[in-house]
Amino acid sequence: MTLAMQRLASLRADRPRKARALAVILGASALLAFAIAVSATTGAMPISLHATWGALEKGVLGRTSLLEGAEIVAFNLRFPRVAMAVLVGACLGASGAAMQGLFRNPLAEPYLLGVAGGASFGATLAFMASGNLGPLVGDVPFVEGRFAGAVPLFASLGAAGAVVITLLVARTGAAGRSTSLLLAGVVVGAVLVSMTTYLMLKDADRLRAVVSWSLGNLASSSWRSVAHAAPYAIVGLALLFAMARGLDALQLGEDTARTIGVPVPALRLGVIAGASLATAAAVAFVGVIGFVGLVAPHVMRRIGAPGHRVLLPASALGGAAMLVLADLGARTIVRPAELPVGVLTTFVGGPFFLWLLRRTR
Amino acid sequence: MSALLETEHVTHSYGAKTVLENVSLAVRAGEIVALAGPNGAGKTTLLKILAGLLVPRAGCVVRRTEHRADVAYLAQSEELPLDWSVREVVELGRLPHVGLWRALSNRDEAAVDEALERTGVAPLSHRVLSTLSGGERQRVALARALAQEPRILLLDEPMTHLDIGHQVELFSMLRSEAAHGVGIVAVMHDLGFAARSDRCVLLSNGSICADGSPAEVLRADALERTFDVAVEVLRTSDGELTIVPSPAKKGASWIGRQRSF
Repeated sequence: MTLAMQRLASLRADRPRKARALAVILGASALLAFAIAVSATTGAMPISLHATWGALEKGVLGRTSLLEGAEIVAFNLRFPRVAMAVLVGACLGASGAAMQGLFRNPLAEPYLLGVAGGASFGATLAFMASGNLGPLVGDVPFVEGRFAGAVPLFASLGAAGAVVITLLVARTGAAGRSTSLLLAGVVVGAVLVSMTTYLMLKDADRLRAVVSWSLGNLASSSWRSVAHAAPYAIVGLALLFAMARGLDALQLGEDTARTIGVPVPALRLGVIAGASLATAAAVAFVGVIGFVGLVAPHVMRRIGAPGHRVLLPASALGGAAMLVLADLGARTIVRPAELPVGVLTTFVGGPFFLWLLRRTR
Repeated sequence: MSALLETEHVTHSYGAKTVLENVSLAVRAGEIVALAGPNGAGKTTLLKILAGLLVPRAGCVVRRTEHRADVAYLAQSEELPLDWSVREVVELGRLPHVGLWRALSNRDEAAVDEALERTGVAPLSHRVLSTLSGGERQRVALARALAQEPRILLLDEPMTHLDIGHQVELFSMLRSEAAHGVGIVAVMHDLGFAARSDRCVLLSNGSICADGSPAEVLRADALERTFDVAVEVLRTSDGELTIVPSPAKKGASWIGRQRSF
């Protein structure tokens, strides 16, 4: 058979996989678009699709002074919240998929290396430092007070610090690198959680604010916080996407990956850096939101995107859609009050994950 | 013919435990070299040193190949992502050629097709690995290695977990690769297949105790010394050697043999 004929045959044979990958990406994109449209128009104050579109048009063209009535609510409150949900959901979904690929463990998730523990510890320190918060906080978990800006900063520093400590502790481990990292992550996370609990009990006045933050909440999202989180999220996601084929090769085991030219230590560091950056950007602004990073990659893998070049973007899109819908539920189910979105994602995500596991068997 | 890959006086240790001592082994194009020896003799360590996965404490590895894809390695019970399709796994064999960011070219796709054909898994190309039998999965793993278009193939116990039919099938695939000029080193516990190789290397306690044709190496006295068990070396009707344990042999302690630790 000539080379051209062979190529033709391989293209024909390969069509189902490529078509499936395209269908997964398009399907996840369509779901996200639907979630955004529903979430932007639904809430305590229903906003028509027309007004929402008008607000988007004026906002994108920089004519915010022309916004009026419901458009103002849509542009200044609804949109940043939806944008933050997209950003955070994408970060958690892609980081979860990358961590599961890195550790070849379906139970791996973005918080595995102590990111959540570190972020909570940092945020708690910030809450303690900001004396004007605490019990004054009403229905929203934390408000934009004089020191509120310190929470994301402290949370991201805490997350980064926890990952660095995990990496240093893992270096001393005698077990394989992946096992040492997993164990170190669990230990560092647990120690940080106990330290956070101690701080919370020591300053019970701040307890409510810290607990609300740690359960995850998108209520305080603003264009400013979106603009602060976006660069870290984008760099983190780009780093993860660049590691996709390396993660594919890693599924054959570290030794085989090395023999087919994958620089495994560099890949491991790249994935950890990308996932930590993306996850830290997410938790720093909205707190710890569970199960999105675990469930989104599983769903995408199940519907036919096991290779990381499709799985990572699909999990980002799926995670974003999941969180946008979860946030919609969080602010509408017990209207006019709000549920912390992390409570909802765990409440729905947990049983859903179990169902998924049963179906896999 | 000069060797494509060789170790020269290689010594390796894990901590204080020396696992290889002064091992020199050369692999030439087109030959199947069987690495045999008891558990813990250093076979896997030697294979990993040949593959470049371990750097020996002393001695050196000489590689007379040009491209990093020229040496393919198949780990013992290679891990395979079970929710992937056969073709997706085999395509990974092209990574040494395309790197982490370039897409597969026509030439790469053709190499994948050929590897699928040569291992007989082309009809399974779109099947998900979890639906395949152990024998089929091992053929997929071999296809992944062949997609590299290697000049040297290093295999760690490729016959493990395979029934006799699949073992024969896999061995004939290796024979066919050797006929295409690929040099093959395979760790083998089944001495019957070692006897059908071109060369047999017997390792014991980290040293090569015999290296030569199967007839020279697989002698009853050498095997009894190395494996600490009584064996008989027989000839089959087609003239091939076969090795069987011989519990009835005089002086042999077949069950509950004592070893000094």
